[in-house]
Amino acid sequence: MSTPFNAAKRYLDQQVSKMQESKPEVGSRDRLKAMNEKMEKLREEFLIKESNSVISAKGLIINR
Amino acid sequence: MSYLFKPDMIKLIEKIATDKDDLGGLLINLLNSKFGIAPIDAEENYKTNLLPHIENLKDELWFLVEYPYVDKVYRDSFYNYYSSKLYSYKRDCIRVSIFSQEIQEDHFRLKKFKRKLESSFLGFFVIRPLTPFSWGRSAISPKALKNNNIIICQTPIGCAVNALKMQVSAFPHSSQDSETITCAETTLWAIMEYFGNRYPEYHPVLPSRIHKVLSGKKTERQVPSLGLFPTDISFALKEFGFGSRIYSEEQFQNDFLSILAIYVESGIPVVVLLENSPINHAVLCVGRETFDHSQLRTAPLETIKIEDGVIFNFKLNSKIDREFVFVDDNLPVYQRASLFKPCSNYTDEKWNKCHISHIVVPLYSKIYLEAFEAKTFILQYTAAFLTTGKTNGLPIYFRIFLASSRSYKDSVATDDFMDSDTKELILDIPMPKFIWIAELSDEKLIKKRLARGLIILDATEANLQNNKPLLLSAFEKEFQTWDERSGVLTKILIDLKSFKIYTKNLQGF
Repeated sequence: MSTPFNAAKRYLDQQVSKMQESKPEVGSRDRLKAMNEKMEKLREEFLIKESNSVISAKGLIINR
Repeated sequence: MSYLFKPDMIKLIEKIATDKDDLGGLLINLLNSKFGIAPIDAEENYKTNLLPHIENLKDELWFLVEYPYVDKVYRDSFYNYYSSKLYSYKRDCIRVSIFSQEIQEDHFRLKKFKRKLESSFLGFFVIRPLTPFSWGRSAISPKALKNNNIIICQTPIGCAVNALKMQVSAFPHSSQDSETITCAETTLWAIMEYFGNRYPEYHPVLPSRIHKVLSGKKTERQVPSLGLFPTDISFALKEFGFGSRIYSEEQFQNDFLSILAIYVESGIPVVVLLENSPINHAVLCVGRETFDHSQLRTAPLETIKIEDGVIFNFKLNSKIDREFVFVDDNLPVYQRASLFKPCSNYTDEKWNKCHISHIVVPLYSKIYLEAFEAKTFILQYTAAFLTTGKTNGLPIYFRIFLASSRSYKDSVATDDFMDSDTKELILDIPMPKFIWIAELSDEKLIKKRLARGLIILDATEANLQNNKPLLLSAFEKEFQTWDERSGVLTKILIDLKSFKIYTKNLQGF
């Protein structure tokens, strides 16, 4: 029996097949590479901020 | 041997129903008669320490006052500390339950009133036999407040009022007693009371348990308490089962308050450490005021330059200058203040100038991708893969938050606005317990609580290389996902229409 759900499923199965056959978009690998480099740099900066946050919190006493 | 009935030998629970006008007189009388406080001091104590909390509540409320009441938090402090003193401290408390409609004592014995009592129950507060720190544990629904256009983290808290079992949805609050619990211990207690009542992974804790967990770390006695180091707060949270994180203002600068806002939007109560030398104070940030379209103007317009010269404009929900909701043990529950001036409700000038120096976030232990990196990844990914040549300079309004995948999928499954293909794709993708979500909207759509794009990240993936955290993105006509086998992004054409934004974290927007 055909239901809206089954119809959607069939459509999606077709789409997934297309997806599996698809090739990466032109230029997407270059964009990924550029993004990886940015994320690597940002991660290094983040790790410094993260460890310094803990160090700076050690000298503080919480009272009232 | 015979037993004679002597009424004064039997300790009965006294209970009195009253409206707000008569509550003050009744409480002053009880402070005197039950706690042995001299009448003039009882009146002063009421005005200074109880009235500010009661004034915060709506005028039309009704109250049921019960004595004696055994409060679990005060009893823990009593047995572990106060009972060891020479002065004879009382061990019983007074409890005041709050109702939105008129009540009478006999309503609690008639079945026909049970539903009415349950639906009108708005919480309770406990009065400790301590001066001046009389205001004890409380669980008060925001509905009881005069000014209640706020959305907050809430948990169901049960209690028996005049023998009837009741439940209120609220965030726990208490004032410090300054000896067994200072602001630092109170924030820890409130966080665990919240999570312990809400999730099976956690358990509520009492002050003595907090001291026990930290005892191996401390080089001095723990009571009378002088307070805790921020690292102690983080350590205790870790011991209670969280993957806690500390962020400092000095290190994260412009991103610092935005990180706090993202966690609050995620429905996580955050420990906020306030500083204005020599003051150091700890409070909780548990929610924010409801969205008002005029607030959008306060979010700065930000840009990321894309390599081919196109500029990607955006605004962040987390950078809107709005009022947040604080639970502060020096003040009545649900204080509203800007993150830039978190102590604006203090009259003392030194306190008033406190700023947020650090935050401690109680994260679920398997959330490995934290807010700063998730936000950075989302913006870079949008610039690199979603917006190239498409945005025409119009700013995208980003709302970034954590959610449980179960709650999120439940919300998507019943969203009548979302097209069925996109919906099925989202629901069919396996997800971890927690996910990072970025909703992409604009100034017109967000007014209708709608979004037009979506990025979902795996919160267990801290490796940001090769788009690894990406579970899916849906924007314009493209649904993108990460294909692990080929190591590239793959696309499906969809017809994404506007869809409802997610509102379950704080039960509103």
